[in-house]
Amino acid sequence: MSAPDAAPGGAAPPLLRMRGIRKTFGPVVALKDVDFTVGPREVHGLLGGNGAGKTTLMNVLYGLYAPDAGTIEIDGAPVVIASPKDAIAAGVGMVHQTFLQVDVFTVAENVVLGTDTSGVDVNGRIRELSERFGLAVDPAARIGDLPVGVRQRVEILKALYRGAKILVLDEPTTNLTPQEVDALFGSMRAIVDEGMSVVLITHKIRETMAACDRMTIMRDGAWIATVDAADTSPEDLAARMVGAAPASDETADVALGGTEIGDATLDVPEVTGPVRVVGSRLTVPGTGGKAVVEDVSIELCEGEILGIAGVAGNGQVELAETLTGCRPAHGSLTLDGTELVGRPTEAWLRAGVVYVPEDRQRDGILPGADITENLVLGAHRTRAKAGLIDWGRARREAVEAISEFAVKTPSAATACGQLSGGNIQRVILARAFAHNPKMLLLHNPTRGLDIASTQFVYDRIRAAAAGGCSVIVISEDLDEVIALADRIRVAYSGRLVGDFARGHADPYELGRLMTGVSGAA
Amino acid sequence: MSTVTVAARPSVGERAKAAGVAAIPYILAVLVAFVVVAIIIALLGHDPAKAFRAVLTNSFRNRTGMVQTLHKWVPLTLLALAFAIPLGAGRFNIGGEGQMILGATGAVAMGILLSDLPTVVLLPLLIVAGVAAGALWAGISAWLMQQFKVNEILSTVLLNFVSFEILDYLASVVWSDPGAGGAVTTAIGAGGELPRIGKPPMHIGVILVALLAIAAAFYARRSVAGFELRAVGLNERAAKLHGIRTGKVAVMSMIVAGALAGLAGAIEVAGVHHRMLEGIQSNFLILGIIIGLIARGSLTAVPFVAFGIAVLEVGAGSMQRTSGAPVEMVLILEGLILLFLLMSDWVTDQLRLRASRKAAA
Repeated sequence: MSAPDAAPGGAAPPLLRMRGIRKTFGPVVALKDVDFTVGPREVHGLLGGNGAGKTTLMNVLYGLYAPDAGTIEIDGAPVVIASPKDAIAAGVGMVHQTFLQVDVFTVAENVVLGTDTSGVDVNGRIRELSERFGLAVDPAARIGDLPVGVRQRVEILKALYRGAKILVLDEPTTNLTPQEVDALFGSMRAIVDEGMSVVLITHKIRETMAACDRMTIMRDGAWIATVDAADTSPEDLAARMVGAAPASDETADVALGGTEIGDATLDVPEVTGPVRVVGSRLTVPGTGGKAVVEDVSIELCEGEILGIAGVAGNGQVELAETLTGCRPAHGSLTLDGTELVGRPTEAWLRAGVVYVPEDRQRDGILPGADITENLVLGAHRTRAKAGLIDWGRARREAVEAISEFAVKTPSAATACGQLSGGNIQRVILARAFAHNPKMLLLHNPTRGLDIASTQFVYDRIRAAAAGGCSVIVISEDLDEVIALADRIRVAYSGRLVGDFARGHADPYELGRLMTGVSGAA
Repeated sequence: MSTVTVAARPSVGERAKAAGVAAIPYILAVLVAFVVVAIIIALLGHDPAKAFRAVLTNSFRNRTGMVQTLHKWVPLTLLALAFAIPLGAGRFNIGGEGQMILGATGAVAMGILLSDLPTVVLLPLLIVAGVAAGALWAGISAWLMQQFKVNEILSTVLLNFVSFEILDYLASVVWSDPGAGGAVTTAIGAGGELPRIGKPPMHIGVILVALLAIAAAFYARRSVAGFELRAVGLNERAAKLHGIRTGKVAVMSMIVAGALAGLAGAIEVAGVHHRMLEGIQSNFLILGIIIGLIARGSLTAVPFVAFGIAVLEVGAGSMQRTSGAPVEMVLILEGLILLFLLMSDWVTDQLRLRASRKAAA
């Protein structure tokens, strides 16, 4: 790889230089005097775990946050960026994880929104840009009808249309299939070849290795290192990302997650054991005549981990709720031979079906109740005597659970809603395992979690499976599914398609299934 | 891995300190409300000091004042509970007065139709009929809410109007007392009257409701049903996903509320009036809501707040007699206390924000 050597002090000034950027939110220091330099014509990876400060730093560049201290130079000239408008004028474009688009407008209308279009051949210009950079879109299509991958291209076009010299992409591969990721990386290369630079925010080492010329690693709001892709290795990056934490060898594995994918098909013995969960022909009728969960059949042995991959919005929430008894359905689901469909949620819970939902704040906890109460939720009936709950015992058990699951909290009486995402997930997992689950379903269990918490969740899932629990992991992160699952299936449009044993799943094959291009029966 | 054992709850000292900090907005709200009302009274040309002395001391000056206050405290506590319990599940019962009137109706029906029965039979019958009628009345709204998704605020309010007509019809047509010169029923049988104790006499409904209020507070904190009610109010979706039948909990909270309001109606009949009359519901609905909101839904706090409001209500007449300030001043005072309390939430947030900023700097 020919990494352009944009050493500071060289002849040409770097395209972007941010110096001593400091940002605090109340007592929290989000950015600790961060330096960040992007050379001309480079794809620059901004790598770090969740909460490392990557997005915050780029939001400062894009004018969304005013820094407490620090300077920004573009092309060697100092600039003041107080709003996204200033950022765009200075040549900075940013594509966020959630797109700000008007669903009922066309692609072209969304691209030009807020710009002066008099005397501009809008469609022609969009077509030209999309051809030049390999960003295939139909300018006349309605945004609301388009899949996530295409909507992302529209966001990139929007930035390019406004003349971005520096394009920031925030975790752009979330919810893309492997094919779409390849296409995106191709477009990024085309953009760089035209003389612009791209900043790729990611927590995946594999992506930086595949797409970046240089990369900057951040941890806990601080700059750790900036290295050339040619001079580093995934292991080196993982070590820098994780830092000198005591469990760094294990957590580095998580940071590396998926670097080996596609290199070889491993021959791993299939999990065999007594069949524990049998779901057959599960269907949930929807409002518009189309089923939201359609004809889903599954089978799990004791100790087996089934991974369900898929792009968000393909009925995963409904499927999760159906498989855990939270949503009325037709069909059948038996756990150790006992039929559960048609029985109330409480009966599923008692039988040992435990659900760890995706939306932790909305579905997982009572935010205003304290940790003790949240740990009792769901088990409050089984542990009550004569209709009364023994809160003294509950508090003692909460203290044990907090130390076992390493929840960071001042006390068990702290409101659950005040905890960080990782700690909320630890509370939810503590509660889930207190049920002694026979079948555990987790939906996007590590989304938004830092590396240590992710590692913790993986360890717990594997330990549960080793203890005989049947586990279903529904995740939009394909790497996560591949890392955890003994068998992989794909959710597409309310159905389950494909069925691959561990080591036999080709990411591209999965990608085709995720977009509804049926390959395997 | 660091395994530091955390405390189950903050120490007693810390909790006391937190309670003290939490009390500040209440104290301020009460003080500011009194100041504003004092200004109004002064502007009207009366003496605020004299007015407040009359309001605040009337209940404690002699036993009559105290009995009056406790008799007032009974329906206020019950109506406040009838508002606060569904509020715990995120539902709004604005039908307390209708449920109370139906309770009075059930009680007076028993008391008139079965007037010859002895106390041991008639009094329990009368109370049970009142409780059941109130529960049934609230049950209509609960059923509409659960089955047809009819907003419970609307249905409970509208059923209040229906109850006024029922009361009017019964008191002026069916069981009308011709000698009373208004919409008043004839008296219930002597066996239906609540026994009175002491001198001046206090009906034993006070003791009954005191026990009930303690039981309700205990039950809300310790029971499975209390926990489920709280869970539904805090996050209905999460409660549902964890096996709580949220619809059932909401319906039950409405029915229990109706039963309590119905009990208030029965006690007014059996303990105070010994008949049913137009206006028996007084302004207990609105005061019950004010009490429930000042107590912030806490069933433990409701009886205490209700006592404070009962003192003000009983003192209102005395205030008008001694200082000339109109009785309505008391309702203004009560409303302002609530208003300033709600505003104090915002002030507290601002102060907290400023403190955290200062800590960061």
